[in-house]
Amino acid sequence: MTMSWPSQGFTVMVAALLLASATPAQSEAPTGSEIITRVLENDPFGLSGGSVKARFVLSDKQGKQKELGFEARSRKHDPPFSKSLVRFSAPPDLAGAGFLQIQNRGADDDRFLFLPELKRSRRISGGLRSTSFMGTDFSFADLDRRDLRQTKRVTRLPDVKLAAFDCYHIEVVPARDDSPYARLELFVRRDNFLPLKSISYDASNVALKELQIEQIKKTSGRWFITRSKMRTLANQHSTVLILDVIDADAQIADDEFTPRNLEKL
Amino acid sequence: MQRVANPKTVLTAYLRWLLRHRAMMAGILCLSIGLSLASARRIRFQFQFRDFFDYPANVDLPLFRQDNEEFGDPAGNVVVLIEANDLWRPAVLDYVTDITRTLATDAIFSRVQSITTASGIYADGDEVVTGQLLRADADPGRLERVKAYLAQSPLFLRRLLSRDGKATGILAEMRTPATFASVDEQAQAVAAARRAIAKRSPPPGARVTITGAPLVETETTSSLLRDQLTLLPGVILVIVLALLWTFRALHGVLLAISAVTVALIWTTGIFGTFGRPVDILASVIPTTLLVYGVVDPIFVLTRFLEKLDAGRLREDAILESFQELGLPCFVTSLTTAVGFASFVLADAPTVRYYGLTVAIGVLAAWATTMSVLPLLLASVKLPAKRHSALSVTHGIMALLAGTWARVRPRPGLVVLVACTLLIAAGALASRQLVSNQYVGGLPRGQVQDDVRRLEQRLSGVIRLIVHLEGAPGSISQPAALAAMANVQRSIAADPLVTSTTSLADYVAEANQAFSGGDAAMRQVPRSPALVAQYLTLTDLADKAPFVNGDESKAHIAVLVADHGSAASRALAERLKAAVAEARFEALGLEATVTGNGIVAYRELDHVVHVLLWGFVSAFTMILLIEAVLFRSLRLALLTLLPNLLPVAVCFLVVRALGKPLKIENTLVASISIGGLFNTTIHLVARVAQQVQSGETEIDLAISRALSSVGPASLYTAAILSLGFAVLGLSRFPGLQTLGLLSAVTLVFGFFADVTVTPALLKLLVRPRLQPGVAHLEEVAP
Repeated sequence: MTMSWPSQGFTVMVAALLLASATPAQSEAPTGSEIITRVLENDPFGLSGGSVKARFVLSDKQGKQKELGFEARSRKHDPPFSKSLVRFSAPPDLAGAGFLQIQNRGADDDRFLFLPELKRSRRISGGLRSTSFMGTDFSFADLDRRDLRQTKRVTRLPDVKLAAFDCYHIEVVPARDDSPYARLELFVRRDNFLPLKSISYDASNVALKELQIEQIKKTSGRWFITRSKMRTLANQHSTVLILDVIDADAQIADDEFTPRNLEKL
Repeated sequence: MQRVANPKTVLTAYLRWLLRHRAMMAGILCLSIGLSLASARRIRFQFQFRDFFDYPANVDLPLFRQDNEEFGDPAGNVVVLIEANDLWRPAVLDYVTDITRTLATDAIFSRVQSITTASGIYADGDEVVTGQLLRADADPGRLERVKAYLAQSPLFLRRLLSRDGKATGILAEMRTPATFASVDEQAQAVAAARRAIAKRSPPPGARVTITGAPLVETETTSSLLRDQLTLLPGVILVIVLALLWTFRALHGVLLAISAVTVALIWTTGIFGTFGRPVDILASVIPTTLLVYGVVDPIFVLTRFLEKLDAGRLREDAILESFQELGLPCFVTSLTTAVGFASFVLADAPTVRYYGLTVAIGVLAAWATTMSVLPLLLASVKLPAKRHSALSVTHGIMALLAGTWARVRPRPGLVVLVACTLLIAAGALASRQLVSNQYVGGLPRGQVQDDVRRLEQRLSGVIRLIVHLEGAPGSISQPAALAAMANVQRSIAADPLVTSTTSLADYVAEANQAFSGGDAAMRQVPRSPALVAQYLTLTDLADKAPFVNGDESKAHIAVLVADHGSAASRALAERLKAAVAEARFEALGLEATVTGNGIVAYRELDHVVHVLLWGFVSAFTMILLIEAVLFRSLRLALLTLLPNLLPVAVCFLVVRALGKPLKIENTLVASISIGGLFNTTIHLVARVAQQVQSGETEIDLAISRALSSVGPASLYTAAILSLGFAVLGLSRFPGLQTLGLLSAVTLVFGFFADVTVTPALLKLLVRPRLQPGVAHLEEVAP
């Protein structure tokens, strides 16, 4: 089932109603932190277990586009942390390049990059969280979600309606020094805890980026965000992340997540 | 056939009408003053480099603007310069971090870079370190590796870190690129930086300075305002002293000052309606108008007092004085106005409005001489006891007679010497270097010193840009990146260049990092796939100042220490040669050299040429006006040599002082032109009038003309010279030179008029050959 706003809004609303009726106690008055926990548990991008074939479509302000195709395989190894291996298939110049990330609870993530031209993988270290992931508008911080896990303050603001859906309005102040954002604003659907929209701000309270969910899909009983758009507001650059194929049940062996495996084309 | 009204009759009728309707005219004058003052309130002071090049007809502007919009302004940051013997002490790093964070919280800045936030890529053993370089938890080993990396990376060396490692800059990039930001925005940015450093004391042993291009423009703007607070009282003081010396009475001072003040207020009001700011050119308008505007009232007042002393009734004295002087004053004002009005043809609005305003102001000064002055003369109680400067006048007349006695036997020799001097000076002046300055044009002091220190330690505030454009993806071709690197290599060794950066640096650094740090691998790899992979890895924010989204446009930024437009021109030529050698066109790329070091400087230098051509065209127009008024081309041409000579001498002085031609000192030609022709016109008119009246002895006619016109001309030259010399009090070195040169030119102009003009009159004027000049009268105090 694939849905996108607003044409399939009715189906989504029905699903939302069903979901809401199934969990009345939780939806009554959850705190901001509880809502964020639910958002994280949902793993709507499918990056913490399973396999997805996906595309990044990058657009500049003139509307010129570039596409990066990839397959991401992941597994939880120390919940909520995970290991993931991303292998690029397009464009041709990037085909075969791979990225392995092993999230660690108390330390920096282990990251390895394989560039086929160099024929070997390299460990990547340093303060990468502010850096864009493979030239997209998503930063490493946007993808690792640590800023939602390690927070200084989570505030639930008055609920709002967004695209006909009732949403929790949450403000998160990240605790980490290396966070690229001073504040995050999330609009989370009350019915299924999918973040419909999030806006990230810098220290001068200027909005830097906006993530807008454009399509969701329910696979194996889980909701996935199958199409989302991250916009960098200063330069009107944007990246659409499209999940084309989702295998939420794929059991990926732990030994796949090694530098040696990364080097296998 | 209808008879043409005699100008004298029209003037008399006007004056009678004016004196009959004093109250009404006074009311109209008060109303006009009120309206002018209201309009003047809109005037603001502002100096911006872009005032000279940001106009629609500028063909170089679109690409420069596009490049700024696309990639920002690499030389336009507000820079917090921190100097310390050990920058890497925790206290200093903590300070840098804190100031960086504080600046980042101000919405005026879009990006704040410092050594504590910089992102880069380098090898650490087998590992590739990328992202933010300095982290709070960095161990000493990591810190050393970061230091080593920064010290050899073209992306950071002399951008964030000085070559000796003892100075670092926090670069705060304005949300609106500084080149196209308003002075208010730049002032806000500078104020934000000042607030940030005021909040926290620098660590011991560290010196903190705020500098950068926005400071140049805000400082120049505030200096323009402060300059007026010095120059206006200075000029007024000179005029008051000159008036006191001439009239030896307070009423003489007040009457003349009142007339010129009204003219200045009118002009200020008209300038207010143009919506233009007071820039470096417009800042000399008040001085010019005050000095020129007071000359005619002095002549009229002197003549009026002479008439009173001769026993005329007050009203008759007014009528006779104006009948005699109204038209000559108009002619001299018209020639001055024409000189300035020639600038309305200039491309740059700042030059156009300067010329227009001064032309209007000069005519307004004539208008107030013809309206405010007669009203005051008719209304104000005159002192019973009046003194004149007769003894001084007699002394001047004796001196002039002595000069004429030396010139008279050898007019040919005098003219020959003058011609030789003109040709020699002209030949030297024609080879004069044109070079304007941006930083060098700043008032001497702390701000200029700080910008110079920024240039020495880190980067310059002037930039040259190689803008590249081709098909999507063409920029990321290895050959294109290698060509960019080659251009950078060719130009980087130039002593003017402080830093040069491009996308090729990112690719080369990535290649070195993924090759285990091998310095030999700091180059663009030949594999397109590998280049594409490196570029994919590079952070969007890091790439944004160098390449656009579809990799069809890029630029090479070359930051330069400001040594003036001539040096910048020469460097641009070397850069163009390097670009030509790189053969971008063979790679499908169009390469254009732009940047403020080219676009802005080209316009500033163009203004110099416009001012020189404006002088030539004004000179020609004045000759034509003279030909019409004298009804003699020969008499008009006669005035060429004595008025061209002082200007040539002025340029000779510029050369002797070792200064290049720039806007401020070229302005002297147009400023002086009115003052120069003033004396010549009166002398020629007086001689012609005598010849027309039947005088057959030319020597006698010249002698009489010198004694009647000479003293007044000397007073005029003295007032004009001293008035313009007040510009020597300016904070701006260029305006100081302008003041000196104006004084020299006008004094030399007087000298030429009492030597060369009589010699030419003796050689060229034949009695009874010049009919029809009876309406031009002598002008003598």
